[in-house]
Amino acid sequence: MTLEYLQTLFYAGLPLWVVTGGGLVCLTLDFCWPKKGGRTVFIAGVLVLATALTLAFRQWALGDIVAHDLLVADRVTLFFIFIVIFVGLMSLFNSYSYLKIHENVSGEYVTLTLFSIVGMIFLFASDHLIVNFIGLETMSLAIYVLVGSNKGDSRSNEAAIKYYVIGSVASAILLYGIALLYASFGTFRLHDLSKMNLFPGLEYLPRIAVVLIVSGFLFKLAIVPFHFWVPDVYEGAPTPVTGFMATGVKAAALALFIRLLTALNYLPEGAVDKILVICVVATLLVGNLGAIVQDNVKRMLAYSSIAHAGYLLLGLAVGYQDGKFNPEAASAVLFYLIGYTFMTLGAFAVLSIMVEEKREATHFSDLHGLGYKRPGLALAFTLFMISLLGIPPTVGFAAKYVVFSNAVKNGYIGLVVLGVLTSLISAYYYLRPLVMMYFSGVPDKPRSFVNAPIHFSLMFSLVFCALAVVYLGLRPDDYLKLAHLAAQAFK
Amino acid sequence: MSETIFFYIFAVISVGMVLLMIFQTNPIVSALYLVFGFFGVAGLYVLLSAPFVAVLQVLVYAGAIMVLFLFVLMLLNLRKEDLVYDRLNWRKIGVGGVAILFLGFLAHHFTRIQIQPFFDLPENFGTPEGVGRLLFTTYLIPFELVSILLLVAIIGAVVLGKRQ
Repeated sequence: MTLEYLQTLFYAGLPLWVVTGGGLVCLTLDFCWPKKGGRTVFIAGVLVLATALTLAFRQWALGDIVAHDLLVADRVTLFFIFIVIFVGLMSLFNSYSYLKIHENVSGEYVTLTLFSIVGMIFLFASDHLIVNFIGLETMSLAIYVLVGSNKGDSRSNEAAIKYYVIGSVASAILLYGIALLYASFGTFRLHDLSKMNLFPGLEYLPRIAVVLIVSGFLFKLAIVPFHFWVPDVYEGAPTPVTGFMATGVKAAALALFIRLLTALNYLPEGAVDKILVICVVATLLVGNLGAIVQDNVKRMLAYSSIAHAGYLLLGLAVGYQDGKFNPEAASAVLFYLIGYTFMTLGAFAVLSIMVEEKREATHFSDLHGLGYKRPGLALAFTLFMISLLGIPPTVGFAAKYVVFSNAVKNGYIGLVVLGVLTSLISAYYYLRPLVMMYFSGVPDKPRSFVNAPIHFSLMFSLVFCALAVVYLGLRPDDYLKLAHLAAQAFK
Repeated sequence: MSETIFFYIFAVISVGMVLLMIFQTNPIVSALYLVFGFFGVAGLYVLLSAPFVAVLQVLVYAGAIMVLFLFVLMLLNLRKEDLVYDRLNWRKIGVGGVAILFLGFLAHHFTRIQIQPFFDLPENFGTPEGVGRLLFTTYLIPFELVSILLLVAIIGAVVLGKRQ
């Protein structure tokens, strides 16, 4: 252990250390002002994440990407670091006014958000499965607490308990899979695993290991056989936290999932891609059909996030050609993820406003007349809805187009047909809020949030996400190139 | 040969005690069985020439954590009426059957593996010194990450536990 070693380590993971240190600083700041520290800590948290984002951008722009021992550093890792830190920043913006209404502004909230981002980054920024697993657990633990942080609300408590118990089981399954993989090949490094082959006497164990590991990840991604916890947890969690989970957790889990798929090439032809295709079909159907019958916008968005996880997985499933995963396909998925992040964060930002007397009022009927009372807000929500649906001037269309055209190119016509059909189904539930906002009259006594002013931070994230959704929809080329550049690193 | 005998002794102890733990109605008795189960696992670690891990298993799990468990159980102050008998029904039998089938499948393949050791054990394998050296050099990053994980757990417990 020389000084040089530590120096390289420092530069290799600079954004990561900034977030870690920032989390510790936020924790201490909270002690310093026990009464009124919440606001200060929020500002500190935002500054920390902004700094980390800048440093990550600097690494990307200058190309000084140093891999170091247990830390992987390549463009795709940086890409996901961007996304995860950005999601954290936006959800801090989303949460401030929400927490203020609930009189729950606290430094711990910021600290836990920062540490969960640290966990997310470790989840994919290492090729050592044990480091990944500890990262996953750090992320999950912080998020279990964030889900239950609305202590006055029994639904929040219920969601936290459910998520904790089911999440722990999923982690145990994943860990058992990792242990079996180690028992078969004697290594935790994905880099070494990619060179392994099945040999006589060792045919089944690595396959069982892969099934267990993939199940664990499908749970975190909320893919259909493992989706049953999503509606309850997403509905019960405080709205900004739901937004954070729907984007950040999914992005982080997806990052390692893609890396695993590229590394595990000892499997015989058709072993994983069949599982993935079955999961995609089930996810698209269950997510889209389940969303139709909901009467709560938040619950509807929970099902919609299941459906979108299905589209993301579709993008990965079509990457299989002749039983081998071709990382080229990942670039479409990465672009889809950028779009999905913006539109989902924006939609949950709007929902964060909908609070009535300290209780969330996210029923469809709570939207009555919003289009006349608050045209700007209603317009932004409309934009996010049609983007989630995938109508042209928005990024939702560009993202779906890229994923589907890639699928056609690789010969998965059936999946594309299913994807287009389920997108048509989704028009019903994405357009319903718009009907509620514009075409069902103005109620005599509108909800109190309709007249309340929007806090600056929330306004910022709303406007930012709305502009991004439109801009990326009109000019996707640059960001497609960016996704393509990132996906190159998988090779 | 004696190693094999000891292995079976410890294996039977750990599996048997954990099974007993599951089938108890009284949680305190369950917790005590779990302690014995931990001792069995500690014995297995000794056989795997990892004495340090075995000692930690007894000290940390069987000692500290189980005492905490027992404290919590006693604070809960369970009454007799609260302890419910789980009755067997077809659903449980079905789920249990699938689980046992899967276990059998795994066990079948475990017994058929013939793997050579991947590498020779280093001189100081399993000693406190060897473990410490690994933790602070090769595995420095995961080691520090675990401390963050524990910090998150502490913050979480405080956040959820404190009065509004």
